[in-house]
Amino acid sequence: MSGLSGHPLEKVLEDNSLLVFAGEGGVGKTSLAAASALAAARAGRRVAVITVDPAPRLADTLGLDKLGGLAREIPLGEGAADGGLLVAMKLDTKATLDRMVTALVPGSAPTLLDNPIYKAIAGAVGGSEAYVAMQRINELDKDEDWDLLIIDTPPAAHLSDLLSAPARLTALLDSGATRILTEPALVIAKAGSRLARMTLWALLTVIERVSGMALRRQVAEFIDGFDRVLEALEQGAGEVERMLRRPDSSFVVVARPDRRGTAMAGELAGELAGAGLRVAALIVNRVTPGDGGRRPGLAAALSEAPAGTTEALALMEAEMLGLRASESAVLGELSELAGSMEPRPAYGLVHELAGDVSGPPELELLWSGLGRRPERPAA
Amino acid sequence: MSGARVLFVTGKGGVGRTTIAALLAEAAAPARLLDINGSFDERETVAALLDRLVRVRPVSRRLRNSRSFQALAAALPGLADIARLDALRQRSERNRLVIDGQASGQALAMLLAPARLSRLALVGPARRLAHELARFVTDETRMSVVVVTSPEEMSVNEARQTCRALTGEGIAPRLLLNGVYPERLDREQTAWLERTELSTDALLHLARRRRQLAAVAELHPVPFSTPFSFSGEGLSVDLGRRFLEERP
Repeated sequence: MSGLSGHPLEKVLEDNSLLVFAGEGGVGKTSLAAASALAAARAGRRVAVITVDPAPRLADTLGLDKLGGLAREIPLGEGAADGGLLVAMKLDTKATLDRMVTALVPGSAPTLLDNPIYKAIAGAVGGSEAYVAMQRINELDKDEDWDLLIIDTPPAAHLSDLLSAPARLTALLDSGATRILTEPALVIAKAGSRLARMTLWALLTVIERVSGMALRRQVAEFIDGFDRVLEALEQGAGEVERMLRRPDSSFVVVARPDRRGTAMAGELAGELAGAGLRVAALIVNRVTPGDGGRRPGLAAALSEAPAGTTEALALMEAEMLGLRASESAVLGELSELAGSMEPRPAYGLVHELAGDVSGPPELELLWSGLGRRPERPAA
Repeated sequence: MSGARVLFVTGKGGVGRTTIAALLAEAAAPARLLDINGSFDERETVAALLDRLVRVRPVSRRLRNSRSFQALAAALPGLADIARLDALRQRSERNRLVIDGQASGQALAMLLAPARLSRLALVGPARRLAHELARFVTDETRMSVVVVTSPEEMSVNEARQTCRALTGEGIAPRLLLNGVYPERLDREQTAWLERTELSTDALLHLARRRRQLAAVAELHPVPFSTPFSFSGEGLSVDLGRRFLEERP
């Protein structure tokens, strides 16, 4: 693994076979996940990276938009070690779930895929995206012999969504509500008191009115087709959870160097620890580069500058200085956070790049940027 | 705009939704600032909606206490959204509200729920409710939707999609661009800086502003902007007042 040696994430990439990049939307998770994947592949490992919400230009360069949910092999460039492989793919939530349904219940798939309740669950139930992302990882894990799977989580996902989505689905379907709706007459006949019967009738009519759906038929249809899918989902959820708890699975938490970033990273780290999951690294992304120093000759040159330049430059420099000061306070807190976590994660920061991350060259820059300033929490 | 009973603030995660909602609440005083998730509990709002629709109290009480119903309500497309919106509308009759809303995807689902519901062939109380709520969200004197975006490509794209979807259902949102780098140099000064490259920080400042301008280049008309906060200082309440007074 020559290309990795000395890098703060060296051990993280070597020790794990599943890495989940987590953090708020817009922190650069996708870029960092892709950069890590590329580095590992260049060092000779077989890597698959799944991105959920890539920036358009990165998706374009990696060819993700054209290929939808399918994988594409990314060229590793010159100097890559032998045996390395990198495929990238974009997650398509609905397509993944539809594919599962079609495979599991070929007969009723067309009706089910068109069912409004299925559509609501496939598209809108909180966390279904996160859940399907994990499911896709599970598929991949069984698919082929990967050395390393890397995934970035959907933007708004809280960890609890990731872990509890299948539980919520199954709770709904086991709740008995669905049984009532499939066989209303039966249940109503059995209901003892007059009040109970009224309640059940009201349940049905109110729901049908409020939702405007021919609900009883649709629920029956849904239950009919979704039963088998549900079993598979439950089984899959168990497998995903076991996967996340394997000794070679870890999370990488990515944060922004601002107040909100610290708060979110702290929350996420707490949630992960609470769930008994491991954080292998904490990365602070998009730190303002530079040190605010002036180039020699500025003072002299300013006498020749257009009127007002001196004041304007002073103001801009003061603003950037202020920004760096508030960032360094936040960085102190993040490094403390990393130091307080058990086991202690690798800690690194990356300076903001001058341009967009739009392809392998920038991904390599990002990776080496992360390596150039390895800052670990004080022991 | 400034008179709307409800200012509903949404946007992609991390663009400063909460900061802007707080600013607007201060500027619109006396207005109550409410967090959509904290102040409109799903279970309570669904229960209140049931009471309105079922009318026979013992029945609606039984219903709302039934676990089956709660589970189903949570999964039924639109029910929870309709209930929340109905609660919001009722509270806005007592107070002027500024709502720290959901992130754009969820907010859209809620704001568009009445329009979706009205399109279904409904009868009776549900039909009346759907129409009432559709009027509520589209009437600019009653609700004004503020879509906050940061000047970054992905957030701008999401904001544009959100605005398009809202406009398609008769809701006229206002965009607010949060965290803009100020313009400090005129053309001549910029040329001098780029030629001499003598201040790296000024160059960085300039580069960031340019990147932001590129990200927002396709926003027309130019949205109301709030400045980037370099050292974490808050926004001035005057800015909030100006936003409220400005004619869209």
